[in-house]
Amino acid sequence: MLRRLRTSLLLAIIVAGVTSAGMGLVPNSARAYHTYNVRLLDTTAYSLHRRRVRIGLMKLSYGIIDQLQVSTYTMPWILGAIFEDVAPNLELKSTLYNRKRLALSVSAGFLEGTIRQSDETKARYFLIPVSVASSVRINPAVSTHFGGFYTAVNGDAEGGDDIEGAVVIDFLQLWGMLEWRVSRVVALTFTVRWVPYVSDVVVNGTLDADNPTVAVALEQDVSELQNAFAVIPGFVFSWDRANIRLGVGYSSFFVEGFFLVVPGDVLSNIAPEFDVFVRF
Amino acid sequence: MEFSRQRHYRRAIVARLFLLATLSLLCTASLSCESLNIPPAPDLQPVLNAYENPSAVVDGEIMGEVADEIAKAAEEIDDSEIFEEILDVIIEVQQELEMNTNENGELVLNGTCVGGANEGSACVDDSDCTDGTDGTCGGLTLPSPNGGVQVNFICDGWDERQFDPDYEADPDPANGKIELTMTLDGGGIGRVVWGTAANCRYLVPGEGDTCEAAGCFEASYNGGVAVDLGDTVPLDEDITELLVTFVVDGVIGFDPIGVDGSPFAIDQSFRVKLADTDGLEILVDIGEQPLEETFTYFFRGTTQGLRARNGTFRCDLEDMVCSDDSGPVFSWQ
Repeated sequence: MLRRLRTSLLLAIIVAGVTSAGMGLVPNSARAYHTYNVRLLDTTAYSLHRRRVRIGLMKLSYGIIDQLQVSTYTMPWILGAIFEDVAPNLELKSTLYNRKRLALSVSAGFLEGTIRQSDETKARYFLIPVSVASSVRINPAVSTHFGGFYTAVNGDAEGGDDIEGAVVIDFLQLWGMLEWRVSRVVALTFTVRWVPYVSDVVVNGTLDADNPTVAVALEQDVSELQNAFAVIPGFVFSWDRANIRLGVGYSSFFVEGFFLVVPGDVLSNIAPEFDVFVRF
Repeated sequence: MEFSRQRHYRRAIVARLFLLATLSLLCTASLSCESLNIPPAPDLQPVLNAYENPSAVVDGEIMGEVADEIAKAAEEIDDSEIFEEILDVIIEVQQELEMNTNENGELVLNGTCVGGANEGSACVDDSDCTDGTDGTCGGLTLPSPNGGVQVNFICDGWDERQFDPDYEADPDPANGKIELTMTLDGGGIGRVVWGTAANCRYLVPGEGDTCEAAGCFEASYNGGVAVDLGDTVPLDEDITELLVTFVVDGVIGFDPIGVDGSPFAIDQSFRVKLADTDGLEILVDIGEQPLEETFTYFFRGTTQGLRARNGTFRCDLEDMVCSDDSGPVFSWQ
């Protein structure tokens, strides 16, 4: 049942993509949507210009100045609200250099949240994602984008008298994306993501014992996440204001907003990519 | 024009400040690449090698010099049962770890039965909870964990009521403590356990497990200890059946009734199997440099003897003689 649903979803995405691509190839109005100035923001070195806004299903962004954009991911807020505690998050992205064919950016942010296990037990997490990115405009239609994401995750749990513990994990994610602007509306993208480094999870905790007291500091091997990758062909449709990003690929799922990686076998190696947003 | 240039500079400064802040954040993030903060284990391999390959050639002259020391050390170790006190702590931790390990061999930290009647570590033991009939088992599950365990044990002290099954006393820091560091290797206890005892007071029953039959002796230990368990010990293995190598460096206090119980300084390695109360093997170091020349002296029930480079002999410290199958080989005065 679940497999059929996934297959149907996959087919629907492919059909929608191909159809939309076909529509986009048809010359339409002269209004340019994928333009020299209006660039893809995700997985690139570009950021919103001053006083420009992006409101999307996955992300809200605002251009403070031409070189500095502030964003927040919506999913941590929404899922957090559903599960009782919202997860505040903020990301600042600066396009430090954008001349000729090259653009360079850095970004940094945080995500903080709480997961309640029971009335007495809750686990807090705090993520610091830091990234660098470069974009090269090979020609007006084709661009390449490369970058790296370093995410440091700290977590701790607390609750009753016996409960305490802390978890630490860091990982590095590299990506590359080829962007081909097929028309003013349609851009084809081909994204590769790879996790070359994951630290062992370090867990500090205690065992429920009075005498002797037992404190543990443990390392948990998460090497299965190392070399996790995703290959995602996709489309970005851009109209006057509305934009849709759509893609489905193979292997691991890189969770936007939470900066985490879900191993491929958890989602049958389907790596989706989806966003709907408006820019103005 | 001038205004435009100033604005450009301002933006450039903001952008560079942001770069600086990002780099600072990256540094902060890197600091969270926390590694396990476990002190390095003492290297016991030279000691183990000394047991395996005794290097000293022993004769009557050497035994004449060390026989009394061997007898005294054996007596103090045996009487004070310091090894039992240390091993009991290790066994308690082993049991605690086992209690917190579920049926899949995964260590569950902070296990709590969510929605069930059971709480705490009992969660992983209780089939009702793990089956989900009474609730689900919360906590952090760690398959085959590696890392370190810090153990802090408040010693039992000299109150004889501790052997009363109905007596419950709060641990009293005045009784001293034992602090041990252990490692976890794939879920099992790493072979080396080490730490210190700080004025640890405990009772040694004169007979049996309580003071009822023959009273108790007040014992104490203050000093360092390192233990080699022989190999990584699975959580369900009986540690009392293992031949355990100790290295102790401290002061044993033992106060048998009617005997002078002055503290005894000990810097000694010995081997013992807890299930075999009559077995003890002492490493005797006679070289100028540590472990340069060693042999071992063993007690097995009524038999005693030594293992040296020149052979294994049956010995008697009272008769001051060592023999082999052919008869006495050397003696001392």
